[in-house]
Amino acid sequence: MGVEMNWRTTASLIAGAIMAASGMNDGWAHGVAAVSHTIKRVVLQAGNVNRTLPSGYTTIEHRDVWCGYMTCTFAMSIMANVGEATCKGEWAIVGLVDGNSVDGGPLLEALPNAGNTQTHTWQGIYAVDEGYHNVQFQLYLPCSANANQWSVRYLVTTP
Amino acid sequence: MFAHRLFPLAAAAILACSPAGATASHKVVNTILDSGNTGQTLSSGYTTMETAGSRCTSSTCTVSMQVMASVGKATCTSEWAIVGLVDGNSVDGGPDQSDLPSNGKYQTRTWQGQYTVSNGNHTFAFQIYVPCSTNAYQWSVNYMLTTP
Repeated sequence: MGVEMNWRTTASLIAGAIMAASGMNDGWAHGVAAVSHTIKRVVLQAGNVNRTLPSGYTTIEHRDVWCGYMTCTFAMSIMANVGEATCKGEWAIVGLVDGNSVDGGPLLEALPNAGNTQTHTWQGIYAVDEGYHNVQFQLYLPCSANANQWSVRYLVTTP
Repeated sequence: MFAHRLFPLAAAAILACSPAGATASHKVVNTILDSGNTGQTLSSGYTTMETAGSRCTSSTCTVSMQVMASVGKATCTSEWAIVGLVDGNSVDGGPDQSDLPSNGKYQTRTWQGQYTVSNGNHTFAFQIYVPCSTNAYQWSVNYMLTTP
């Protein structure tokens, strides 16, 4: 668990350092500048995992999303509920596009005490070019915990 | 701290006669997306993290704002807030999110609100309020300008 957490923290710091050194916006490589976008399509899905997940990353939902323009932006919003955790480490919702983490998956909060549940929402944006793109989200857990309700809303916008 | 506790009360009083949108159907005319990871240490108080602008070409528009922010390595465990602003006006006062995480841990929260504006150019921004020195990390915003 310690190694995993250290890796997560280090990855975030490295990404930040790279962007600072490269003079990029303080966003990630596929981050999108604050410009106007037009919504072309909305992808909605929801479910209830209702099972115990092991520590580490578990893919909860994935799908191929079509971008029919030269450039699109996926605006992703994901809610997830966890509970019955076996530790108090921090968990995360991780959005991915074509296997690339959108923003590293910021740690959300320490897992709830036994018998309690916790719900959080993550959101992020990612620019892609024309074609199909695999969009998915994972839950990162530092230890075994139950996953329950989840829902996603992906906006496909131009640019 | 004291000012931050008074702010929501003042905001509530303002909202009683203010521009909050009624429950009605809206048409999205423009979407503003942005994200980043500052990795900077914020001092106590309000820090503006991002600003954007858009034009309302109808007589009335509503801006729907969704903001996510992550903080960590706080030097205290008092409550922090994400504050949405339109033309410098706080949308809802910025409700406290939670106690800041202790022992070098992190915390990510989202805030959403809406604000009615009239025809013309408008600025949208969000601030993070922290009661003590705290690091800020990933953030992202989704502002939808709608009619009405």
